[in-house]
Amino acid sequence: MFSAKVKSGLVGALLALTTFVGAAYAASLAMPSEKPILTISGKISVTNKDNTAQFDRKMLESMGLVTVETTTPWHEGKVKFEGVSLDKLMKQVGASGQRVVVVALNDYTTEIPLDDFAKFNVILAIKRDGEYMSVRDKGPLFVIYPYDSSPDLKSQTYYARSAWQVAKIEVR
Amino acid sequence: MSLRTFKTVIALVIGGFLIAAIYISVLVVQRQGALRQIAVYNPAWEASQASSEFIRLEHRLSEFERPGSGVDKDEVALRYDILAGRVKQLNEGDFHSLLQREPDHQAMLRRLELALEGMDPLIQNLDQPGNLQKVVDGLKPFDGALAQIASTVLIYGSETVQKDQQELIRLHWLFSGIAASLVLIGVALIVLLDRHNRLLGRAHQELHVLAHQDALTGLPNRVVLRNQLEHALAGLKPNGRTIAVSYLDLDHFKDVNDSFGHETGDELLKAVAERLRSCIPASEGQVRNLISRFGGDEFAILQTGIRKASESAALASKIVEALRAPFTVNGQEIFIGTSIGIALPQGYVTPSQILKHADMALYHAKADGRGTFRFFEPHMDVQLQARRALEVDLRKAAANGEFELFYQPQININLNEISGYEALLRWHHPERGLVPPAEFIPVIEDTGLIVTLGEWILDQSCKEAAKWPRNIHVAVNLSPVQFRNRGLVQSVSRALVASGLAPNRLELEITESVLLQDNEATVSMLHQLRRLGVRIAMDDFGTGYSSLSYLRSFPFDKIKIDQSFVREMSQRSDCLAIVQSVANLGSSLGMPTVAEGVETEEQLRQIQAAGCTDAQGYYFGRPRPARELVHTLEALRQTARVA
Repeated sequence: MFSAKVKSGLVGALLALTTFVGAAYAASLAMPSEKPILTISGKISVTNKDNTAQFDRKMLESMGLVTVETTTPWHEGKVKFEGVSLDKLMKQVGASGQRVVVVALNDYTTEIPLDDFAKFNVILAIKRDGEYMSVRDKGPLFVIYPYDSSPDLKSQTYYARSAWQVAKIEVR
Repeated sequence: MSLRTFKTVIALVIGGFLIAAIYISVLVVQRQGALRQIAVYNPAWEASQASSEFIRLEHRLSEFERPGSGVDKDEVALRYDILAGRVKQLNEGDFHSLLQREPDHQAMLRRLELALEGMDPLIQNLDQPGNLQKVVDGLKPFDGALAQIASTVLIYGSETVQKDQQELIRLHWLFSGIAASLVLIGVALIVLLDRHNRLLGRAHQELHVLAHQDALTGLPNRVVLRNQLEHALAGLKPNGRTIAVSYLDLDHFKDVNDSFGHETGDELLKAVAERLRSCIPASEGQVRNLISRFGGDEFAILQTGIRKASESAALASKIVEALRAPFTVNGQEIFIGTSIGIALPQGYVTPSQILKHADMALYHAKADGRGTFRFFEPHMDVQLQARRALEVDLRKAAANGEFELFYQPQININLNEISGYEALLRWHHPERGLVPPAEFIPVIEDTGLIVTLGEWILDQSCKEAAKWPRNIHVAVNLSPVQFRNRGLVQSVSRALVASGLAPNRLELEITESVLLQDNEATVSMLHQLRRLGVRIAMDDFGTGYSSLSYLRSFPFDKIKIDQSFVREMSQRSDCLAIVQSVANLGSSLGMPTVAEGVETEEQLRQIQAAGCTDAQGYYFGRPRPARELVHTLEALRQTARVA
């Protein structure tokens, strides 16, 4: 009786594992149909081109947009950002590292611990106040922390991690 | 510093402490703010970024036409967008206001932004001939301008940093100052608390003194004596040294208070305390003496470490002697004496018991005529208990109808007939039987029972006398205590009215002790009684002071010679002489004289010869209850014979 139970438990666990692994494998990334705006490289398990994961704006938007309303040092008053949850994005590409290096179009480089994304609900913003951000306007992608949610976030550490004109993310 | 001011000061200091603490946290927040500002704002970086983007764009433009360079139209457009974004940013917000001091730079940046906007169509169509050159030419005038701006801003930045640093230094000093004052306040608080403790300590000490010292004389009080006594009793060893408690009070201290006033009384007590201190050594060999004031005019001395009772007797006579000498208080010479009662522990005694014993001994010392000392003896306790029991019984006696009046005849010698009866109180106790008047009369006087009982005696004797033949009077004794009661005259008059007895048939006998409390009130009461028509007789004359001035102070109707003289007349010639003198005196003053205690025919002859007008005594008849009275001498003699 007892062993039967253990056996069924084991079988359950094994089933769950295979389902998970299968899902991970199954989540292969589609190829971008437009010009890619984001390239993720490094320790990731899901790729679509040359060991990197490339995204165009549509692919990012299809992951679902999260809204963050906050004040920032770069804008006047409260601003509404919409973008992809970076935590979700990292899971999507099967990131397994400790930190990411974010590189902007102007080669501004900053490093962010991977934990930050889940801990602070960090997003990779696509829209500001309902409009897509152009390169002139710190677009196309902007790492945004919900600065107003905690006084800790209103510090240089997090402002420095908030890269704009983001083009590449390398998981290390 | 009073405790009140002190409390105010301490409250102020604590308030200061709080304010300083709050201010310090405000400063901390301010400093955080300043630090954050320094960190956030980095315009020089932004300007230099714009500068480098400008160079990048120029580089991409120069590469654009070189084959194999890999720079395409999109790459140039991207760099163009980035630069345009940067410049737009420099024309906005913080950076823009930073350049307010440099209008040239501001204008230049605006021009650059406009120029870039104008290049937009050229960039979009860069592959058309001439466009590239137009862009390169358009950018040329701004070459180096951004670097200049960056360096200007860097200087501004460093100025800002300088300012922020100065602000930080200012905050630091402020902070340090507040911290230092906090430390000072802390020290002040410690000092104040220390002082507070000392104040409390002193108050505590004062309370201790108050609780253990008599305020008037500065002597230890009864609490101290009791404690020491308890301690001494606990430490007693069989056959070892012992202790003694001497209890003393001043003789007639109340009179000093009454006649000289309480202030003099207090001064006298201080002087007495001083004299006690000087004549009683605190220690003498192994003997220790503790003097304490018990309250009022009572003092107690605890001797410890004595061997024999005679040691405390010696001390007591020394004290009696010392207090006998006159005191000079407020310019008055006052004589006062003391009586002392001494008790030594016998067997196991408690402090309360030994103090009670000393008190009893004191009572006896006073009864012995004051100015002396007595040791406690166990029978004193027995006597006290007996007296208490007597008191209890006496209080119930009247209600139980245990009192009765007996009447003893008084004979007019010349008429050879009964002239009146003296009413005498008798007490039939159900168990004690007939209690001798000498035993219970002092008790009813002391307890004040005499006042109501006296009224009853007056009522009863008047009612009885009203039934007698008209020529026979009734004599009633009045106690000095009754004279202290203002209602005496009314009581007498009420008794007369109620009984219908003619006032001249009531004779009131008083002793000289009534006149001892000689004051106007007493004499005036005697006159009022006289005005009612009653007669007043001087009783027991010849005993006590027998001052002739008493006879002058009030015109008595009769003098009664004390029976002690009559009884010893036959044996002692001096007694006879006294009886004769008093009789002569009476006749000279026109006062009848009554000889009391006539028991024999011989005595009757002698008093007759001496000139006494009346006689009373067993020779004629013992006191009898009212119902057995006869009213002629003849009848009286017959009943005596029958008996």
